[in-house]
Amino acid sequence: MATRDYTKSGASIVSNKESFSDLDLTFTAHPVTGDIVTKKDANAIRQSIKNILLTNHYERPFKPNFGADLRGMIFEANDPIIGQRIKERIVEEIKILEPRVGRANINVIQNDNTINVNVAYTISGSSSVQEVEFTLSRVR
Amino acid sequence: MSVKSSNITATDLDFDNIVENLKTYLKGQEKFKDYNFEGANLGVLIDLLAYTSHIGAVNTNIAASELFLDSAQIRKNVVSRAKDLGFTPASEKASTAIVDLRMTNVQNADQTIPTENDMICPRGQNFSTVFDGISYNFVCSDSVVPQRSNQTFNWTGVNLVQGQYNTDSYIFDTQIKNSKFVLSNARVDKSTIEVQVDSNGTLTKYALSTEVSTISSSSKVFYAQENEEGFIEIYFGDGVLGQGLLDGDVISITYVIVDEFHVDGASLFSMSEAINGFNIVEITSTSASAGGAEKESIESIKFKATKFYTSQNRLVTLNDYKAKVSEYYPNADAVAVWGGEDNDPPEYGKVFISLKPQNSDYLSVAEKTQVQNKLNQLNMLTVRPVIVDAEIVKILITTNFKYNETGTTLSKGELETVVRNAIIDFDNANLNNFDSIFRHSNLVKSIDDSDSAILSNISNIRLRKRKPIVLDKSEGLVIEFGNGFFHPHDGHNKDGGGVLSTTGFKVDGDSVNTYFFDDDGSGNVRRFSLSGTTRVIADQSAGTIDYASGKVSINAIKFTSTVNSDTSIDYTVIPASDDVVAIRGSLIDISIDDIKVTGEVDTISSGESSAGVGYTSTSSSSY
Repeated sequence: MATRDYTKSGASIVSNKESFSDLDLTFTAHPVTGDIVTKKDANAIRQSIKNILLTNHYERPFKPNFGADLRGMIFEANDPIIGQRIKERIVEEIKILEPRVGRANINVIQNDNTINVNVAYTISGSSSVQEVEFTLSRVR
Repeated sequence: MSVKSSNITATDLDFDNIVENLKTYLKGQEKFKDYNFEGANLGVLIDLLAYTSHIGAVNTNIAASELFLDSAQIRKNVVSRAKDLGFTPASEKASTAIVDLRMTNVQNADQTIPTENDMICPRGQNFSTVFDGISYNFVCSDSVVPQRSNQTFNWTGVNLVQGQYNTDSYIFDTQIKNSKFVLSNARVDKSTIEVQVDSNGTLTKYALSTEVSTISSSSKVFYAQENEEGFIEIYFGDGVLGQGLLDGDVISITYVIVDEFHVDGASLFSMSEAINGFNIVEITSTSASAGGAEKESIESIKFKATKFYTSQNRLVTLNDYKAKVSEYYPNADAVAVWGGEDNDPPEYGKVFISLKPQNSDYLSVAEKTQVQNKLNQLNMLTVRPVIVDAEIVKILITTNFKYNETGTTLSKGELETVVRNAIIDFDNANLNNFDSIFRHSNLVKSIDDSDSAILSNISNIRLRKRKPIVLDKSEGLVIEFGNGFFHPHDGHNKDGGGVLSTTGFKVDGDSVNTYFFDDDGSGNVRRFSLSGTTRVIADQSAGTIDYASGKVSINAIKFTSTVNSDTSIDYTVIPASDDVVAIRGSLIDISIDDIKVTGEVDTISSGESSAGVGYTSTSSSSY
């Protein structure tokens, strides 16, 4: 069977495959292929950051210290110190658990009964800025 | 270097290893790539899979462990595995006592005297005793008919069992296969269970089956075993191994519910209810309450079940005796067995058994007889088991320790208490058992380690043995310590009394002087009295002392009284070695009441002594 020798012809192969791909826990089926839908690249990393920040300690089996434990802080005193602690916690967790993030800028806005968190970050090897934003409030 | 693999390793059981195996597996595919990132959803899924795999592995491990006697941890499984070996664990055992009752001036209101049958002390009659300020109930375990002499009634050998009687009743139903009748109380003394079956108005007693080889199809026996909840369940024969029951038979099961606290050692009892209306009674205890024990522990079941299996209900080897004695007397803290050929002097055709109960040093006479009678049914024709009291060698300890005053906030007295407690803890952990050895250096280390301020200690030991004597009877005595005596040279310490000292006694023919024994350092035991502090020797050769083997022999002598209130003499000796071993039926035990502890500030560490000048130390041979 004849084969094509790319090296001899001088042709170059540029990978167009995605670098990162993860499951989407909504488990919806792809309308064409029927496979479950995946999250890719920037979306996969955004999902990962959200998972890290919104997971409480002792939530994952055998990994008691996994997660930023931010929900565990919503009953702390609503003062400037708590905002600073949330920032530090986010920086620390992303640094340890998400090596794909390059630089990150974190904004914490304290309203009366909620805390809005905005994480703007770049992906390593890329200059485009991505964002994750969520609100921490009590459930009921 | 990462290795792509489409195979998954399935042998690891730890969570972390399972996670790694799953990640290795995922490296072999192209679809998902984020498996290595902790925050990814795939990471959550991997953790979940690893978690379920790990839990499955743990459950499998536990299930497999519980299948074997050696590794089972749950009681019901240990009991079940022991059942495979034919071993039935001992139930709780109620404390029992034997008393004599006496009633005088017994007369009915119409001036007649009741008959013996009127005055039977019935089974279940309630008695009580007060122990440590709390009242406990005892019940009579067998009906006793009194002996009458005019208006005086005497009941002898009344067995009292601590606890309360209870009766459970059931109706037998043949529709239910393998019927088992579970007793309604968890703390039941199995030896007190009595089963009565009412079959069409005919009452029949059933006995507990202990030996299956003697059971026929008509044997009226029941079987008892511990069920999964720890309750005792009763079941009956199937018409082959024991007589089966009929539909509608009424089963009454009576038993003693065992108290939470065992009142061992009680000897003062009062009767809680009248006999035939008479309640003024004198109660004399012939055997103080003893033998209370908890249900057999898991460790004990594991240990005894295998021994029981090898003995096969016969008594041939020493281990057979050990296993059976432990079964017959579950309250035993320690059991020692040796053949007559190993006895000193040898007594061929005998097996000697020494038992130490949990809460006392010696078995009562009744308990000894009971165990011996049971052993006689299983042993070989020509071998006679003899139960002997454990001979206790007490170790007397004198400790002098040095401590750094600046290294502790404790006072001298408090440190002395710490050291004393360390010695007691050492005793509880290492001694008080047959076949045990007192290792002097271990004790010294325990004392040094008892507080960081203690720098060193000199601990000297002596051995003491108490020997009961019979008054007004000429007899010789042999006191064996099983450990050699200190004897550096002939005539050692002749003027000071050698290495032997005793408590006082009086002898026939001299009601004035109190005598003692000592030795002359040349193998002779002397009898002397004291005139002030001077020894007045009355007999230069009252006996012999063997320094090498550790034996004191007293020639025949008639004692008339002893200083010890229990008509005994204490023999105290200086041992040759600081390590003491227990031989045959001996127990070695530190005498708690005789521990002497003295603390002293270490003058070098406190800076008082310079270059060791003025530093004093204790003699290693002083006492």
